Amino acid sequence: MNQIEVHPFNTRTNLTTYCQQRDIVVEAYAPLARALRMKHPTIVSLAKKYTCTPGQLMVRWSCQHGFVPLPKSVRKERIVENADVGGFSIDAEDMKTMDALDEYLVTGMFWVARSFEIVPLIVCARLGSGGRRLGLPRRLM
Amino acid sequence: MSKVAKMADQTYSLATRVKLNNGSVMPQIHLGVYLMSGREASSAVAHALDAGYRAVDSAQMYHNEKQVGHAVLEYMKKHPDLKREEIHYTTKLASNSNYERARKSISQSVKECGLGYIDLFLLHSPYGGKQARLDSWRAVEDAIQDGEVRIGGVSNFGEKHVRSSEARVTTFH
Repeated sequence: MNQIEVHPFNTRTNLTTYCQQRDIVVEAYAPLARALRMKHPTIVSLAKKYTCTPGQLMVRWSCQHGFVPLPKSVRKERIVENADVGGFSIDAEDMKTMDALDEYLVTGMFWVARSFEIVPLIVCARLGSGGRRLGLPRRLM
Repeated sequence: MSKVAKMADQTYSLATRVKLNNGSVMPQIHLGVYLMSGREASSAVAHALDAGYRAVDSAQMYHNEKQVGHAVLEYMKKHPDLKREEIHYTTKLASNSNYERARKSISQSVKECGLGYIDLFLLHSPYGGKQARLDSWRAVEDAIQDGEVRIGGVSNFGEKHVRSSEARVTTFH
């Protein structure tokens, strides 16, 4: 079991292939790319094609790759929606189109701290000593 | 039929389970509770269980293990048919240091969530160097022996990390 950031904008193909070949289950965190690419034209058009939401499309992509997606939401409707991915199936060509969206978009926890104004305060407060213990560079905390 | 085509044909839902190579199974879709306050995590877990989720992914670093665990226990109290075994709870070690600290930290996580045991315990990152990784991993293995953890695994490990620790890590995941 290896839990890593995986979504169509950060596919980590070499690593996921390596793990899956060895029967190591890949858990995909940030399967929705932290909602940073919900309006991406390819995502929007495929969501329209499959009559699903962009979030459902990305969770389904993760499932079809054999990953274990861990979608996060605090809202009840979204929590229900994110897991409701049984009503459609992404065809092989569209899976490839989604795979090709890879731009190594790293949304992980330390990136968040560098990109917004308010979030870093919260993140630093929570990760401050933890981050230091992890030996993270200061700029990443 | 190719693997991809087979996966496309499959129907995925909250009832879908994946098989691990140690023979156990777990839900394919889990609720993530990263960066949620205790209060948010508590209500999100209740909504998720209501919706049919049976797996939650927390971490020591999220500082919401207690609220996640208690939300599960509360839900089970209201739904006596739901067994602890049907729930899959994941948490992760905040930092790799030495065996004693890791082992103690795992016990603390068990206590914090109140669920009796942790289904999946991950090393949150490869940071700390190889020795710290291996020592922390040994603590996970011992926690499995001691019944505090069911399955062990890693997070944020690159190919080299997985490869270098593979002989041990692949024993449980």
